[in-house]
Amino acid sequence: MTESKQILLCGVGGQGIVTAGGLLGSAAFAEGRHVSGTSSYGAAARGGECRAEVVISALPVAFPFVTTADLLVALSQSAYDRYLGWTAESSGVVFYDTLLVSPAVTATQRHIGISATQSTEEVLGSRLGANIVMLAAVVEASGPVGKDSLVKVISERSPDRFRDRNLRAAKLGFSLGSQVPGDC
Amino acid sequence: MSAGWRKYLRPGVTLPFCPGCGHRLLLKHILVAVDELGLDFDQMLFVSGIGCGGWIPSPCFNSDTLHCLHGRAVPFAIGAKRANPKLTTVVVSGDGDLVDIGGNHLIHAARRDEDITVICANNMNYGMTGGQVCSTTPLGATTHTTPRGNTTRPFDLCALVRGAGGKYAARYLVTQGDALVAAIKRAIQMPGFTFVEALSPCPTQFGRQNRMDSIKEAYRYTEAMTLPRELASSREARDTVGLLLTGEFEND
Amino acid sequence: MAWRTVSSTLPPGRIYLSGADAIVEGAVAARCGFFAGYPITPTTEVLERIAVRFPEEGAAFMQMEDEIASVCSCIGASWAGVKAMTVTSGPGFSLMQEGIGHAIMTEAPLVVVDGQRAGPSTGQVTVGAGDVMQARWGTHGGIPTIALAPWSVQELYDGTIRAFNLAEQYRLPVLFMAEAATTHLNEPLEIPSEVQLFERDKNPGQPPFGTESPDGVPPMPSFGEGEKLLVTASTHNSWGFRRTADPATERILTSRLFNKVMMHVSDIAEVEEYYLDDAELAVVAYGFTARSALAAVEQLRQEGQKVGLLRLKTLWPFPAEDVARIGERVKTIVVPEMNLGQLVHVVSASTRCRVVAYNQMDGTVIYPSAITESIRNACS
Repeated sequence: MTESKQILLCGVGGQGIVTAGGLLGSAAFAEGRHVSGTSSYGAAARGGECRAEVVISALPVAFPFVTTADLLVALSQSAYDRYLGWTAESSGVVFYDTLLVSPAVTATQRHIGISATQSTEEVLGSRLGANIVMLAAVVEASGPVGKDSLVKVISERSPDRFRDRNLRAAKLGFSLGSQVPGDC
Repeated sequence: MSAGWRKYLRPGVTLPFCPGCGHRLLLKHILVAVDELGLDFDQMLFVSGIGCGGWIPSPCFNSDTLHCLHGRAVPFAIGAKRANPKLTTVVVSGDGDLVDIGGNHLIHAARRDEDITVICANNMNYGMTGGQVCSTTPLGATTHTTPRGNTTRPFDLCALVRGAGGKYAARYLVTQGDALVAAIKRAIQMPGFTFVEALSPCPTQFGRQNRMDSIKEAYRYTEAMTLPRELASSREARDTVGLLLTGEFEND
Repeated sequence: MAWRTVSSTLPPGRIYLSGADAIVEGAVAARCGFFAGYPITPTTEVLERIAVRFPEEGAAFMQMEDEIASVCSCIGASWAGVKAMTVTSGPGFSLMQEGIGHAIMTEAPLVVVDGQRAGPSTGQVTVGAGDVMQARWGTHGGIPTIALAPWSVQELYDGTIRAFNLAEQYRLPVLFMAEAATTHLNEPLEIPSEVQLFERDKNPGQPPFGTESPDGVPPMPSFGEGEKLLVTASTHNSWGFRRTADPATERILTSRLFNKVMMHVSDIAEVEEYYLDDAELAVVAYGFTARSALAAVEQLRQEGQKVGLLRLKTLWPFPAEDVARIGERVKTIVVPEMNLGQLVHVVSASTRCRVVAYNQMDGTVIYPSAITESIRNACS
């Protein structure tokens, strides 16, 4: 399991968690790596808790879901509270949205606050695209996949009317991620 | 009227209906319509459900026939028609099958204007199971499950189909042969969803339970329930309550 | 016999695809010509994708008023000469059971994809394997059909094609028992350059509902071919005439419908063996749970424990001989299931070996750690 990276993205329905997970998985696939991605959500598409899991590995994996997350990416307080415990003690890294999540004071994992939602609102005019800003920041700071791969899949998979905005969101995310100090 | 309809009967089949059953007449009218239209019987598909009405085409017609689950003749027919649009697809089944258990399929087929013709052999009760109440049983009529008389209103099937968007509906007694044959011919020729209701007396079950001691009485009872639609306008509205209008009904 | 090789409908090579999309592409590759369905979690994605893909390929797509109409229109389409498919989940699968029985009885090829949930009733709309026994016994009368249990996105693609081939070959509805855990999964998928397809046997003028052999599959004519077909699900003779009061006709028909599946179990039922050569304990698992089981077995092997996995790719007809053979070699069999114990009873009936159930029915998948623990408990 040491060669694999398990990433759990979580939030509430409508934030684009499933989309972000799909982009991350596609980017890893484009790099020729073994990858599995899955999303979990209830019957209601809006407002309920949801998560996307991505497992990236050098070897094929039998069990495709996250067992212990190496990276937790949290875009809502309720999802953070629920999934913090899924994250590896001490070695795990948590990326959280500074506007929407207050981190637990007792947590042992390294916590990195990204002002994804707030910056998206300020720079792009609305919260639409905050998922991609957050994902790009994670990719810049932690490198589960290459930046080029992410940009490529965003270009390929975005609907025409959102492509420019999504690419601007990625650029914003990369710049937020580059301000994170140290390796993670 | 053409007398060549017998050539469309499946060889070796004995007609499976009770003495006086109106379905025997309807069977003939459908085949006369086919004959007069000059249709290729090998390119016709007759789909039927469970009940006495379902036995009109299956096994009696010597074409492709599909005998279905109770209530589901319409979706079976739709699937076949969509898969092979060259098939002239006609559903022949009873009122209980098409309207009670299968009513939702009927109204959705009318709404979507599926390119099939549905012929409903309406005998106003469940005949094959021995005569129980049905959504077409007249108010007050006795059946094995309404021993003190039916207290619930029957459907007006043509109004139901038209309300659901069906572009053509017609209703005649099985004794109105020429009109019924003409209606079946129009329905088959018209593209989209078309519906023909044949009022078909059931002397054996419905008739006996309602004290009609002869086949003739059963036919008289059914005739007395109807009124040609062109006469309806000349009557006071209250005099037409409970009567079934016969004729053709078209949506624009 | 009519096998033919056709080219794939997607460019050959590796793609990253969801399980739901893999089912759709498998159906397209199998040249399915008709789909009818009704939205239901967790297979709505399949319906939505088919609404896009089938018209592109010249196939019919219909969203019907319910699941009953969906399966019934598929039978009509199948008899009209095209390959037909529907997709549903637990509650819709229950509604389809009468139609599945009609397809068994009239020998109409058809694929029913069931993205299983846990249930019961509307209980839990996502992860579970609630319909394992319903696939065998759901329709009244108890005549068997074929049910497959895919475990990966690759197998949702390959298995959908195989489901169509088995349906055509044996003239019956094939139940493709997917799960939310796999239909919502994204994985790399290898698209081959060619696909092998079984096309219906035609033999004009021959009886469409009878064979000389007691386990045969009659030729399958279609409407519009001048065969004057008499198709009925009521007890019928080899030409389709209803003979509902004739015990001999009923015996001949139902025994052939039974035999055409049960006398060909070795051709239909597929299993995979992992680490079983020297195993003292075997896990018998199917569908997504077999992946958890494989991860658990691999971990325990690293710890030096002699454990293995028998994966059932086919649920029905049940590969009883394979289970019996493994049961001769091991001391214990563990059967993990995402329900309260369904297939474990059939495993128990197939072997004298000790059989231990591990059941979880809470809307989540069984994690490998739960299986390693159940194996440890079984050994202690």
